[in-house]
Amino acid sequence: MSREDTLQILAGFIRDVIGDEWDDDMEVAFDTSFSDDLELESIEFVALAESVQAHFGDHVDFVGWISNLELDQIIALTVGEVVDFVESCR
Amino acid sequence: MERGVAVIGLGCVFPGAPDVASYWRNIKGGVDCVSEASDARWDGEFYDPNSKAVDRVYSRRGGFLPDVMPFEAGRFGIMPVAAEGAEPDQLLALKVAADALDDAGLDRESLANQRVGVILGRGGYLTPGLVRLNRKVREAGQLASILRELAPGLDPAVVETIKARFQDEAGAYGPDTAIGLVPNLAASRIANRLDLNGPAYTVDAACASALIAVEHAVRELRDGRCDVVIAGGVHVSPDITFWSVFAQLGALSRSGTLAAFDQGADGLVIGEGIGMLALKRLDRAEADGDKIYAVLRGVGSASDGRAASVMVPRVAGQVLALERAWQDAGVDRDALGLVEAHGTGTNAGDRAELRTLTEVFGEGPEAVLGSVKTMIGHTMPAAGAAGLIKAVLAVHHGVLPPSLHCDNPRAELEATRFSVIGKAKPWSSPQRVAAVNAFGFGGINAHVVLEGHGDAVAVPRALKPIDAADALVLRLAAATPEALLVALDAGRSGGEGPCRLAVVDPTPKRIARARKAVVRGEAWRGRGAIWFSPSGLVSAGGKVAWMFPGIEAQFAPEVASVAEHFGLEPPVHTAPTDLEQTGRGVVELGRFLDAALRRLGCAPDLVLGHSIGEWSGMMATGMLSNAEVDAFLEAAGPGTLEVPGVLFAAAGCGVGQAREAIAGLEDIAISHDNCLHQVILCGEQDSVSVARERLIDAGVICQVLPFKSGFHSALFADYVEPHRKHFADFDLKPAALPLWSATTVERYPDAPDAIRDLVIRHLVEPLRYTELVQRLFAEGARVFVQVGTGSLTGFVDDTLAGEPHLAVSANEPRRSGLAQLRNLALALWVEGADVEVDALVPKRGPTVDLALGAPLLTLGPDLRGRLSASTAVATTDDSPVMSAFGDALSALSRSGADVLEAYRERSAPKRWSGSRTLSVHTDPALWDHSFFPQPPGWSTPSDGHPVVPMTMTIELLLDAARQLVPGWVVVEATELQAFKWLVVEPEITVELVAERDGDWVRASITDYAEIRLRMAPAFPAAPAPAFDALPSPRSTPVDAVQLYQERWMFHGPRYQGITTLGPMDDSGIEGIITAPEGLGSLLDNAGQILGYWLMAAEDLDQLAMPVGMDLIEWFEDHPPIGAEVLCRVRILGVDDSSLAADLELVYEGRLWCRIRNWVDHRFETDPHVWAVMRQPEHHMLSVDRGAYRIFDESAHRAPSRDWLMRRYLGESERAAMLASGPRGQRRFLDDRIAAKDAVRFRLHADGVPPLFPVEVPLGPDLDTPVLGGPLAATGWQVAVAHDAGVSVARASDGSGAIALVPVETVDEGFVSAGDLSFFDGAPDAAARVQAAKTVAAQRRGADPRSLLAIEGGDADHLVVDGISVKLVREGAHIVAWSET
Repeated sequence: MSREDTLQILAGFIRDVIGDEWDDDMEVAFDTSFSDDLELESIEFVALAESVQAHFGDHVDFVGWISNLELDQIIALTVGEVVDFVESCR
Repeated sequence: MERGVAVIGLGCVFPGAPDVASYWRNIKGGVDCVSEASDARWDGEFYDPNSKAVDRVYSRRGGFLPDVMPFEAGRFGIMPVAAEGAEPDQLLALKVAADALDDAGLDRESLANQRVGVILGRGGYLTPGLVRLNRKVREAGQLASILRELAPGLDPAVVETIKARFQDEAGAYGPDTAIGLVPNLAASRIANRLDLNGPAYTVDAACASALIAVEHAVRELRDGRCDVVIAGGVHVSPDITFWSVFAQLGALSRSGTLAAFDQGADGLVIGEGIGMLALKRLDRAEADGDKIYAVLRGVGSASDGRAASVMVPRVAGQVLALERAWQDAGVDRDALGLVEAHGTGTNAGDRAELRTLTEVFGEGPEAVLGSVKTMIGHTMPAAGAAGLIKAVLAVHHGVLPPSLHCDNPRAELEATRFSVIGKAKPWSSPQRVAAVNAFGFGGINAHVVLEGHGDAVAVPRALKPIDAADALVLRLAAATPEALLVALDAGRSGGEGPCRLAVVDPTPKRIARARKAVVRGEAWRGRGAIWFSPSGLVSAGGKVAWMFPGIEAQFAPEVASVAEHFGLEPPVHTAPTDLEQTGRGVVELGRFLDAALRRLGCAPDLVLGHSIGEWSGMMATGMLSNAEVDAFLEAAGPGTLEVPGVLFAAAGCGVGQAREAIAGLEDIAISHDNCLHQVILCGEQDSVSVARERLIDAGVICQVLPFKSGFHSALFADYVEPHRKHFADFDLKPAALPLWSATTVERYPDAPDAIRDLVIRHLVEPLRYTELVQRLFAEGARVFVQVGTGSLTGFVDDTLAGEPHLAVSANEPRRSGLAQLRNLALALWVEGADVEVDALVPKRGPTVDLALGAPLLTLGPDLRGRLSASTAVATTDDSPVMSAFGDALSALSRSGADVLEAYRERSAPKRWSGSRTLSVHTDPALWDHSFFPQPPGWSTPSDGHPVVPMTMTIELLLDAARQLVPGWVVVEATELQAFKWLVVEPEITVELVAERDGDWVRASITDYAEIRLRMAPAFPAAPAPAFDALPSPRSTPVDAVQLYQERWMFHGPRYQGITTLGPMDDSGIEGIITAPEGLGSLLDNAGQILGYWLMAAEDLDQLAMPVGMDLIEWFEDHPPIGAEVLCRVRILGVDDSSLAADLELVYEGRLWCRIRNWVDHRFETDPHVWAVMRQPEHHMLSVDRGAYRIFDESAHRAPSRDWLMRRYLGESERAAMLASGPRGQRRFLDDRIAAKDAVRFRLHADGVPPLFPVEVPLGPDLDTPVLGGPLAATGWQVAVAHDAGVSVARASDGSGAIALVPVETVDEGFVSAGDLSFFDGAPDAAARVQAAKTVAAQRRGADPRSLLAIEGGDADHLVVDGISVKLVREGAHIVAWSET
């Protein structure tokens, strides 16, 4: 699976989390920021984490990774960084 | 002598970057902003990668600004029409210059006494304005002459039509726009509009232009001839001809990528943009305390001299320019860290530039080489400015920026000290020196050396447009989502109703996004700064809760912008360094935002807090005074809130799972139940670690928070004592508003001791925020405002997921404090909550859209038919060649035309129908077409009786016709019939039908109106205005201002278009209309001018309304809103019932519309009635008799009883009247006219300001109307009596009574023989007796016939049963009343 594929999977989860307020004009790219660009609330991020964890399974310790990030790192997090993390677990 | 020149301000617009902040963000992030030219720039047919033809180019890729750029014409005092006709680059340059001066902190005042120059690089290339001019003046003639040459038999009128159409399509050009096409205006307009008095001029040195402009500027400043100079370059709208030049030279990149210094570079891509720098001598800038981005140290320029070709760059010339600049700079070349190269990505150019760099800089420390052209394309005369601004920002921020597409650097680069980097790198050296190249065609070379000033300045996070406080905002309201959609699609704003939409930065793309939400009809609350609510949570009765947040890990509010805006003292601890400071900051911020929200007219229905936010809540509800809390916080030194060894951990799960995670562990508890997916655990370090591992294993995110405290858990029990002491001293008052506790999930108690207990429990018991939010939702709270910054909105959204609610924060670190408050205000407004949004939304003039492209024109398919029909005539030409050609052409076009016509006949629809909802909400301008103006702010629209003006009815009919035949225009209207008024309150939906018969369309609004319209593919050529001048013009008795002020016209602002009234004479009248916004308002205003003529010329029956027109002809599109249209009216005749006239409407000297025999119906009015109609608060229909007022309907000429009813009665009164039967109605109305006048008269005598009749509401009882509304409390009473169209009324502060008895028809049952003894045989004695007894009986509440007897008095004054009654003869009646 390529980085691009992982990005698309994440984009799907993000769409689900945003739900009704998703708009097709919203773009999820590697440099898309969860906070600034997607305006994801921290609580929405929890929901996203659940989906990611469920999809990629135990060998991708997403929850552990996130739990060990500093808060300002989480705020500045981009989709690309999550993709890189998922890829690094392979 | 100071030689350094400080850069104190920047402004730019480049591809992908509307401003400097975004430009730098793109540069730093290596964003490629090159894209394909759209057809709006130049037509696709010009693109052919395989052609070498002069009119074909082999690449479409370039760096583009948006195809349409909004320009705020009003900001610079430019008329919109002039803006549309000007060169777009001049206007954008004006904006960029103003931005640069703003950035430099130079406002109009500070510029007034300074010598400010403007020097801009700009080329003399073809731009949209010149293209338009050429089309109008030369190409149109060229087209006509070719038509005449090839088809001599062509009807000259057809040629003229085609030529005129071509000129029309070319766009605006006339005396008011011509000046906008003079090229130097790019600079001079800036000096003119910004009132600068230094030199202002453009220079052209091809691609070196901008740096040559900078060189001039530096010279001006060093010589002391200018105090400030704006220097830069402008290159916007490169025309297809410009592309052709570069294609012919082979300089365009076939790959569409400008890969400077890459081995595979194959040429340049064309870019566009504008960049400017505000420059000042360094010593002056330092003395003035200016922000200094960078210091220009040296400038140099040189020409190549006699080279092999003007097109081939010559190293010697470039070297000379660089040497001159470095000599001028006096800076060590080894200090150089960055070269912003000319770097065009052409083989010859890159090679020569690298040789120049090697020669000048030789060996030395490593330096970075790059070219911003790889990101935005080659912006030609502006390129030097693009490069210089990039270099200035690089030294300012201490960042070595990347350059793109240099994957395989040219071999020569190896030997130099330079390298190209693909990612930004920090540039930390204290001396940051950069240099910029710009080399122009023909061998003109320029170079600038600059260096950073002081330490590098970190980049403040750039705001997205929607996050800026001054972003434009669209607000729209309507009754329903459907109506809102109609308004949105019509491009309207404003409106009224509970269904509301707000969009920040309403670009077309963002409006499209908002539209989707509206179409779906479901609420959209905030994402992307769009809010939509189909019915409004607060409008529907929801309550507003204010939530005060507590301490969170992140606390970085932006408050300065809010403090400045409201003139409030900002909070002190906004960048805290310990937990206690954070606590103070949180409380201060809550109080600060509370004050700001109240300035916005916001108020909560209830209040809650999270953790120490409850203390803020106690202040907000008046439970605790600010001073006491301040004293408490003052005393709270480091350590007060902290508990050593105790940690908080946030877990992304609900309480159930959290309980499992802490099961069996010591010294740990759930301290915060925040929402369904977050709890906070509080405990000793070891227990927290175990619980955290358990949670992460279970897939739950769990993070240790960066502060230690045991708040809201038993672990804090040992630390509560100081708090208990403090609260014991506090003077606690009951809350003025409901304050809810997250400890008990109940309201706070009122008793001070109970409050103190709860405050302590709050410190050691868990917060039950989830339950509290659920409880408040059950109590009716729908809107949750976070009065602070933090996560509470997220908690609410999580807890109430799926339920209708709004959670919104008053502060949000990711945008400016003011922008977030603006967002909050919009969110509240959309839900119908009280908030004064206007206090936050910047007022901006309308923008003019500047089209940056100049695509080919099309005249539309219709004219093809015209040409083919008349080319048949061409065969009569004598020339055999032309004859043959004509035959062929004719045959071809005939068959083509036949096929086309047949197809059109078959496929064209014959009928169209649709519906249109009309109300004051769908068309807010109709508020202003209410026949009966009411007091300002009167809330019952039906009292104004808003009616669709006949001219708007015509527009609706025209629309229907255009729906049926899209692309065609209506050129003629006739057989107009209006059946009845189209009243729009309540809302009404009408059926529109259009049916086609050849060129004619019959359009109707079912039951209301009908018209016959002639349509055509294009307007016919306009005849010249034909009316003779008025023979004996005189000025009108009132002017245009008085016309509306004195309500000669009932119309409100959106229908008030007459800006000049008069002159007039007996034969006609003229006026100037500034086209207002209401649909159909332009012709309505023409009708007003006609109507006014009647008012001025006649003194009876002055009210007239249009009823028909014989013929309306149009010769061009409707003039835009704000256009000045001359209206000329020539009276055809006046008689008792009607008035007829011809009208001409002339726009910009051309006849736009002509109307034959416009007929107004005259309504019966006498001066008295007319005055009441216009200004009912100042006039009365009844007549004063001192003790009473009398209204005799036969004494007046009034249009109808309906008119009087609407003038005098409010909505419920009208309903009561209509319910009182045909006979009762007359009396009902007459009585109320007299009664309302009596009350109004008395109140006015008491000094109450004039009242409209609707402000004196009377109850429905026919005999004894009772004063309602605010007047009910005054104690005034009103008595009325009526007989046969005459009513009398008396207002008094006691129990008045009045009677009206006809002399001729006395009821004998009233009169006994004894009663008549008081009269000396007067003929009306019996009537007097009856009247006196009636009054007395009213007072006594008795039957007048039996019980009462006259006890004394005379004809004018009788005493009946102890009651003194006065009498007077009033025509055929006796009026009697009692005065006590």
